[in-house]
Amino acid sequence: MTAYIIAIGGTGAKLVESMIHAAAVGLFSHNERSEDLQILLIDPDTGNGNASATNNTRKIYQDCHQHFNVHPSRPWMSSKIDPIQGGAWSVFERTDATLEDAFPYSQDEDEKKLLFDVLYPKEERDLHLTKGFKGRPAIGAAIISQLTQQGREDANWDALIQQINADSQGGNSPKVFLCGSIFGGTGAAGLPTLGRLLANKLGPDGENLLGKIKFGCLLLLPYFQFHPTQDYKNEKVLARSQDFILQTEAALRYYANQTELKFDSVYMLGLPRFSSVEKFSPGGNDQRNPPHFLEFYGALALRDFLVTDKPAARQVMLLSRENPEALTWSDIPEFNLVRSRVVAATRFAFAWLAAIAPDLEHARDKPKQVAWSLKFFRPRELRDEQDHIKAISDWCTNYLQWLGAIGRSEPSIKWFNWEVFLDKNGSLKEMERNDFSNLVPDDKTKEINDILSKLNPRDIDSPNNRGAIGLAKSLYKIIIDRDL
Amino acid sequence: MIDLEGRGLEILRWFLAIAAGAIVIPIQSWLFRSGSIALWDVDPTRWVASIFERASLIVWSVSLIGSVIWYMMAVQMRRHFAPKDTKSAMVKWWIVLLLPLLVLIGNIWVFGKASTAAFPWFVGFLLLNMVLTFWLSTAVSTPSPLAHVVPLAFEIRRVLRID
Repeated sequence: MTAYIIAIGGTGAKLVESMIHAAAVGLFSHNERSEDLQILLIDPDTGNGNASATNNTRKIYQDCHQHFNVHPSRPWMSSKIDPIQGGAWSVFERTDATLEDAFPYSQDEDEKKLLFDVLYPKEERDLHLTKGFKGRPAIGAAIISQLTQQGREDANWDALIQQINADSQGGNSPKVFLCGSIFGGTGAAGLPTLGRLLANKLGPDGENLLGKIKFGCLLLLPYFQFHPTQDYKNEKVLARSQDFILQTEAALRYYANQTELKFDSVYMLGLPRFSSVEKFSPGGNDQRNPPHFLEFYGALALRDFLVTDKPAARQVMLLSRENPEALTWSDIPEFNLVRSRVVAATRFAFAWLAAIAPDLEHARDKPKQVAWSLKFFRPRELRDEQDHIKAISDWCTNYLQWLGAIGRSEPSIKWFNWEVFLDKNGSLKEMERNDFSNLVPDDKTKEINDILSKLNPRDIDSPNNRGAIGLAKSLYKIIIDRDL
Repeated sequence: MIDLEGRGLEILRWFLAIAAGAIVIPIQSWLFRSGSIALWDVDPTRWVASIFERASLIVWSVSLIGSVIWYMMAVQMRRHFAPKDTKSAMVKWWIVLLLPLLVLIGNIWVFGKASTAAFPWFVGFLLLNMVLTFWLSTAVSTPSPLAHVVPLAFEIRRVLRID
């Protein structure tokens, strides 16, 4: 089964980053079946740091995933993830577009110009929009709504609709999921606009697929705040976190009254208190907000969307934490399953980086000193397997960095003993194998060396039960089967 | 506290190697007593009882103690052992080996003069007994993460299909 994920704006990109990690952990595997994801990031600021980080995460995942043919009962890395049409779409064709460029302002009659001037002050009209809509949904809505106008459909959209149409043949029910923020510029403007556009194209006046597909969205309510640095204090058009609540209130009213949105499921996530973003950037590659635990909840919302049937009527379900001052595993939906998969993937990544990768490096020169490696590699093979080893190491590093940032996004999260892989600044530190058994609080396991001596290619279905891939599968099998 | 849980097979292999070291002593004694190895300058029965068996028992006992010490150390080390720690573990093994080796040299020094005819066999058998008892037991019982620390352990374990 395929799910089409359309992420709008910087928050949308961050949600997708979380979803890719959730896919790696195996959260989109259900009843021995995995959901594949097709991803599209929509942001006028294509060089945005959040989108770059997400694209990097996707490439790392794809590099690692392409080697694995994991048994369906092993959820790890079982979802295939591909970008839709290159993975990113900018909205603009020009790199220096302004609002005036997007509309025929200079050719318009005076009355229209005057109306335009009333709606958009000069500094908004002249603003270069390639670094986003600067927290102004009114600008974003104007730009993106052009897509919905007759005769201005984009070829990219048509191709996407055709792809969904083709995918729905033969009894398949593809899923389409939009995500973004409700409070910023791009997400707030783009999500309802594109939601409406998709609903029209997939509805009775278009391909008439809405009855066959499952259509949902995820909206993030304000959850972070930032303080512009002195350099940007005098900027007139700038996203300001103090406006978020007001914008959210207006957006929620819009969603409540909007009848053209045909979502089967709508997920909303928010926080009672905002987290602070330390490094402010108005856009571009510097705009990289660290991953936040609410985005992990976003990935869980996608899981719920993927594994539940299309509802006959809209339902309201509420989720909240037991204690507002703490976030524990029991505050996670389906926490037994989610916990076991997240813990297994984290133990895998830790074991790989703390012991397996350095031991394999050692084995290149002295293979006899790493006896377990000889079950998977002949000494010469080890040199040829470096690309596979690197692909897995890169995923482990990327995953633990993301997870560490999630853990640091709120001090009360005690899912792991973070200090065993994070230093005081939150960066990954050199991991020690003796910390493996203490990675998960109150769940002490065997030592890493006991696990290494259990590694065995014969426990893995062939082919691909040898080499780095067989080794990774064998390690994961021991961990997920809790043979610890 | 030494955690011996799950170490049953290692202990069994250790026991068999130690038993092998003990079994060869009566065989060697018989070779002397039966005249298969000719001793022309001493009474074979008396020499075996008073010199050879006593020296062999001492070497075997000290080798056994050395092997136990190494096994305990290895079980402790294996928990967090990394291949890069191989050199320091090897130094420890050689230091433990010094114990039976010094006792072997002491035995040869003290008892070796009793018979010129038996001397080369006496030295050879004591050395063999020490090798069987200490080296073999450490080679086959050392936990796998650091088994390679014992010289030629990798090869003997491969022959015996251990790991």
